Amino acid sequence: MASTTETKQKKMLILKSADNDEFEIEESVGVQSETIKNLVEDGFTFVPLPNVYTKALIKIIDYLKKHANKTDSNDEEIKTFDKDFVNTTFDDLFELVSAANYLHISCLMNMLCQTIADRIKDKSPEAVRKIFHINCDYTPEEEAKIRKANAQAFEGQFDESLD
Amino acid sequence: MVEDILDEGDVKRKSKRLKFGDGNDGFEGEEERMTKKVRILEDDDEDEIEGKEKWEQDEEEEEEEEKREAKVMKIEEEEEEEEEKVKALLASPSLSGLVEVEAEAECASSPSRMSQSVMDNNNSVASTSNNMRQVPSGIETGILSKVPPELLRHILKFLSPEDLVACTLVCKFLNFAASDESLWRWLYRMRWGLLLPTRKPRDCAWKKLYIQRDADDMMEFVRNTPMEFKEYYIQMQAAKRSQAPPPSQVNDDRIILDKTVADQVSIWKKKKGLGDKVVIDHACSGETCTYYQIGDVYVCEKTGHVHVCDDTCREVVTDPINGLLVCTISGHCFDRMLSPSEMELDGEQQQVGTIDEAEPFMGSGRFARAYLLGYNCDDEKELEDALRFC
Repeated sequence: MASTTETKQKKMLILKSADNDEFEIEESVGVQSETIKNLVEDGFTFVPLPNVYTKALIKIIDYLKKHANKTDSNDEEIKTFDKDFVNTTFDDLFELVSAANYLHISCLMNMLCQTIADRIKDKSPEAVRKIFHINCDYTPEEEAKIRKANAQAFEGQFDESLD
Repeated sequence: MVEDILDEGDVKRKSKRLKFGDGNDGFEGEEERMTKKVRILEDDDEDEIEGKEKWEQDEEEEEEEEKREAKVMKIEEEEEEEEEKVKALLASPSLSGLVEVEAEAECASSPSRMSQSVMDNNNSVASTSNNMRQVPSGIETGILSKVPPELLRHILKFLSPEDLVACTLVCKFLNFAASDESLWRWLYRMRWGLLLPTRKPRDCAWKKLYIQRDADDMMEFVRNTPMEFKEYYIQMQAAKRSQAPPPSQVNDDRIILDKTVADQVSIWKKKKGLGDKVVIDHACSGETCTYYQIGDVYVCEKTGHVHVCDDTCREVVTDPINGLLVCTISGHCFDRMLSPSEMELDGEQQQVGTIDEAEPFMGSGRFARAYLLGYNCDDEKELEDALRFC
């Protein structure tokens, strides 16, 4: 019984995703997002998020819940959670990064950007193109020119593998 | 006008040569020391050093060439400016399209000068009162196409200079994003601090400055290292540019505005019914839209696009009349840190050929030089002579 009265005392927020799904979360969890925090401070308890789809929102709520309960003892646990969190496809990562940016959750933003950057790191331009499915829009002449300029700048070694 | 500048360039070139002669002497002394130390493979050593000297000379000439080019470019800019007025009158999509194509070609041919030409381009597009985006129009295929450009920049902040250079080859848009001035400025400052090696900070783009200084450092390093450690030192030096910035530093950036201002912005936006959605086909400038101002923050009344106009303002173009940097959105002027008159003074000094700018007083101002020079003087007369050089 005690627990139900406790939850009643806790302020709850309703988040609505772009797919019109509604999620109820504790205010203390939600305010980790600057965007939500601003709305809460203006007295809103119903927060429509037209830029965030359900799929990403579920993951982000997971993340927020985990990080809201951060204490000194579960540091390791959160690290493992974060590791799993970013261990996903590029599509998901970009979806999440856009959502995190919209929601202004800077720690999540940084973690996601770092993850994406880590996958570009030390790759050759060809590998980056393949990883992100980018079509090269240079003419062969332009490409040769830039290649030459780059070679003069730094002579680096690239990793040709695609993982 | 062009002739004048070329003449000046020649004189400068001569003075450079003079300076180069001095440097050479010092170098020979070092060579002697080196051969004493190493005493093996004497001939090889000599060859190598000669080769390096040649390289150095070439580089110096190249630098000179670039400076000249920059000047000629400036003149062209000015001419362009006049043309623009005509173009503004004739404003038509086809015309501005042409401008864009030209500028794009320029960008492709010299990635390091890209930001400059983009600025010019920005200028011309704005004055033809056309809302077309001046940057390559984003990545059209693949996953990256979904990422808003400003997020891409944040991702690129986690990459090392070497990775950024690799990105320039991927596609035009990534080239644009990875050559971002603020990125390179930030990288430069992380590695070498806030001060610039010379008193003419904005002669070229930050990316170019970075690459140049990296090469200079490398040469310096290799030159001052005993033969047997050379390989290690080269690797050590190279590691500096292949290292991505530490995450703690990346977080430093103000990607999220400070709270009170952010509040005000969101309140205002809500009132106007503007979302946080990024409007792509709109380029803000003082001529195309109006702004709501909160301190340093300018919010576009059409799109809700937020521009923070502080000293990291990236929307600046060079005013052809007084050479000041002017923000296209707020109209704020930024000092180039060196007024034209000072620049001329500097030129005169170089023509006399008595002062070696790059050497002992790196990054210090006139007073610091005066102090340093004066400190080493024995008597009044020497002091007076010394003060002429700063």
